[in-house]
Amino acid sequence: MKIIWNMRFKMFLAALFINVLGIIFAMLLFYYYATEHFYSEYAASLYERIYIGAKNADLGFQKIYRMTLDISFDAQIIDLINRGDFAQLAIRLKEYRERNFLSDDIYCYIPTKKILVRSEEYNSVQKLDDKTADTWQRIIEHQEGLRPLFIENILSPAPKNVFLYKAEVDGAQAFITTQISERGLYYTYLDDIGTADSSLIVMFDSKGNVVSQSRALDEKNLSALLDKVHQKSSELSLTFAGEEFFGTFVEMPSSRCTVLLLVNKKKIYGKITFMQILSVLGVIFILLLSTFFIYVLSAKLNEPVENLAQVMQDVGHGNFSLRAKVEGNDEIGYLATRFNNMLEHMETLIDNLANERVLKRQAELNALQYQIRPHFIYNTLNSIRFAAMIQGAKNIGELLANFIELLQVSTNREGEFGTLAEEVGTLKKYIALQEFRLMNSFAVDFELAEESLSCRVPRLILQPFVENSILHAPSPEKTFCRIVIRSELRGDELIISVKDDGKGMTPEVLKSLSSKPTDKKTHGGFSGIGVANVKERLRLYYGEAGKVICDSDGKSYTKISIVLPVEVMS
Amino acid sequence: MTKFIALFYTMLAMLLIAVASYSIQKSGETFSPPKYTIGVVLKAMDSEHWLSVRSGMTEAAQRNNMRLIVITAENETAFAEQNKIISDLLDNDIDALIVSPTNINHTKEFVDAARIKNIPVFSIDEEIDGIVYIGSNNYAVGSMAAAFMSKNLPDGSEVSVISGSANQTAHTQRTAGFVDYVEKNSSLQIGATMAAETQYRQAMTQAEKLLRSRPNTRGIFVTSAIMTLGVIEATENFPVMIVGVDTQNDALVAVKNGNIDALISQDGHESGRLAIEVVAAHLNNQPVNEKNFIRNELITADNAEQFLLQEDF
Repeated sequence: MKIIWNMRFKMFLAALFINVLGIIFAMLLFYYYATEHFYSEYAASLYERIYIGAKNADLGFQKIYRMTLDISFDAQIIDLINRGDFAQLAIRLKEYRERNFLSDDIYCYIPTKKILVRSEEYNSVQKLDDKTADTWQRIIEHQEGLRPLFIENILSPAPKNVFLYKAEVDGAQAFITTQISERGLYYTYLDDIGTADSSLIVMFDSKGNVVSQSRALDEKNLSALLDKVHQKSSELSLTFAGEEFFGTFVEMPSSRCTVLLLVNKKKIYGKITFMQILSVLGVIFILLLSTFFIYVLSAKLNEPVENLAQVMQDVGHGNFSLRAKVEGNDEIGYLATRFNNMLEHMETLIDNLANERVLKRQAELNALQYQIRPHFIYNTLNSIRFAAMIQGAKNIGELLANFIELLQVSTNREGEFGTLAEEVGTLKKYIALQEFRLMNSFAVDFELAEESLSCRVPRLILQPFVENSILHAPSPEKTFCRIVIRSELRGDELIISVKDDGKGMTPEVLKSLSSKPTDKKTHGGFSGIGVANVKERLRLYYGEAGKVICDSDGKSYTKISIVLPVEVMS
Repeated sequence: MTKFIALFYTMLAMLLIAVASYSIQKSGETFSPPKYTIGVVLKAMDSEHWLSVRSGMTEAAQRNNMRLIVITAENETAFAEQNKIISDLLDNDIDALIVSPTNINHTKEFVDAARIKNIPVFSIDEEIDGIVYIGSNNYAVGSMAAAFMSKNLPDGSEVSVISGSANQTAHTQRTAGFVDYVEKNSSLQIGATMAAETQYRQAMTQAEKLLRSRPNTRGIFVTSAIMTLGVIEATENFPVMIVGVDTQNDALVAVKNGNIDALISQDGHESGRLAIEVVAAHLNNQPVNEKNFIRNELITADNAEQFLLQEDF
């Protein structure tokens, strides 16, 4: 398929390009932000998970600490120790143990007698041998305050790992210790933190020893982890058994133990991959949807342009009657309006041109008609002239010579233009003829500007006006008239005027002269084509620049001015 | 036109930069564990008052990125146990200590120990010399109670005080405030001032004893709510005006029902919150007032309902 690079397609491509850029940028930003957000949210949720577990474990420790302290301040217990009623003491300790489910067992160790009283039913009062007593004494010395001591309980029937709290009995030589089973604590508080996603839980005590964990870690990994915990590094990660882990930790405020949760990174990567796929799908979906909309939109926007183009094409094929549809108030609407105006203009121009051509042809035909007779007339007139010369009538011969020359000029179509000087020469011959005809009824004065003489003027342009003055100016009251022919240059205009001091023209005649020329011949003889013909010729040659101005007061003068653009004959 | 396009793109670019920098800044935010650990040792956890103190503290601590270790003694008399707890806490790397000592005469040991360890100590509800105090203005609380009685009892009536432990300044201050006001500013007569442990039963026996020995008693000011509840048990059939201290639900209900005539409020939640704010200010090296009082108000049957609604548990 051939791609048509029309406006619609280009616009569509441009919009699509910007759209794709925008969507991709937005998606990248979204993806980046979402990933970051996801990481921090995930870390926060991990933190939240262990925070609650750790807080509960810490409260558990605190309760055991408080209970141990309570026992050591319990007046009844102090009394029982001092009285040596160990059987009763064991019962009392058992009561305490039952109050707190976390306490594994409670011992009361009396160092002076090396006697251990337990909260157990079995073997509740025990005399320790020297070695065990010493060891026990040394072990419990290490516990102080709120931090539990993590030890292997050597006094239980089967040795097991316990957390231990100790309190010196107030007012008696004895130590109360409460043991919490490590597994008990782990399953009560820590196990459910991490069971959901095969994660790793490690608990350190304040000295950095591992005290509880879900899976055994090797020494190397442990020390690496501990370093990170000590650095308070917020992002914990380590490789364990070929798998990457990501984690966070919480330090418990009172027991100062640290709980660490490590989650397999695969789980997070899986979620991120899902997010990536989701982003890409989102981009594709939005692209498809927007492509459709952009196509529809660009088609809609381009409709007026395409309509205009179609109309232009049709007009180009010659159908001038078509008009473009104007839609909207925008540039396209403006363009359509202007185009329609232009068509309108062109139509009138074409009409005018056709009209002018018809008129011109008519004028040429008229001129041809006048050329039919010339040769016969010249020959006849020349014969008459020679006859007159031979017979000695020199006067008549000259008149005839003038007349013939005038006739030649008026019928000569070859040169339509001549200089003003030539025109004046012709005019003088015509005047001589008329003087002969009309004896002493007029006189002609020439006031010609020297520089105007070489100007280019249409032939026989003055003759009709002069004839007019000769024939119509004299009146019964004033039988002799004076005619002044004047020429001057004014700017780039040549003004030639014919003025007589005769009876003037009536306003009606003036009006008829000013109106549009008609083909009617007003007079016979030389003025056959007449004043109107002169005006028409001027209009054809010069358009608006050629003017004839008639002026008369109706009683004492008539002035006809011809205005032409100055054209100097080379 | 070009200007507009330029402006548009400039704005767009600025918006993008803002969004980008916001997301970068957001991602830079890491999860930081609480900055400070505050040790809190309260008198007891056996009354609503202390529970609400703890609730106010926990709330404020979360806001100030602190974590609390709240430990209390068995009851308000166990000063030895309390001191042991305090010394254990001081050994546990805490950044500040808030104490409400059960016995004002045995505070020197831990105040000195804390000074050696350079751990700042704050007291709540109980004034210790030279230690920043947060809580009620107890002397003013006593005066308020006296003013209420003086307004509502006929001239010359005999009024008495049943106060909590004489080892706690809160109670002695309240008593002093009450007695001073009655003697200086009213036409009432002070009958007896008795001290008992801050417990329900003790207060009840004291009240019975008082009414037997001084049958003309027309008003009793009791310096704690739990004791007030004990006192009304004994005075049910006597025309005695009872005024107590503390804002707690059971006492408020009694005010509403007319068994207690008035209570001077002591919002535990408010003191807990204020205590943490003061500690936070101190740890951030801001100046801290020597005495930080909470607002105390008079609660009578008219406004008890309103305080009942305020209570958050």
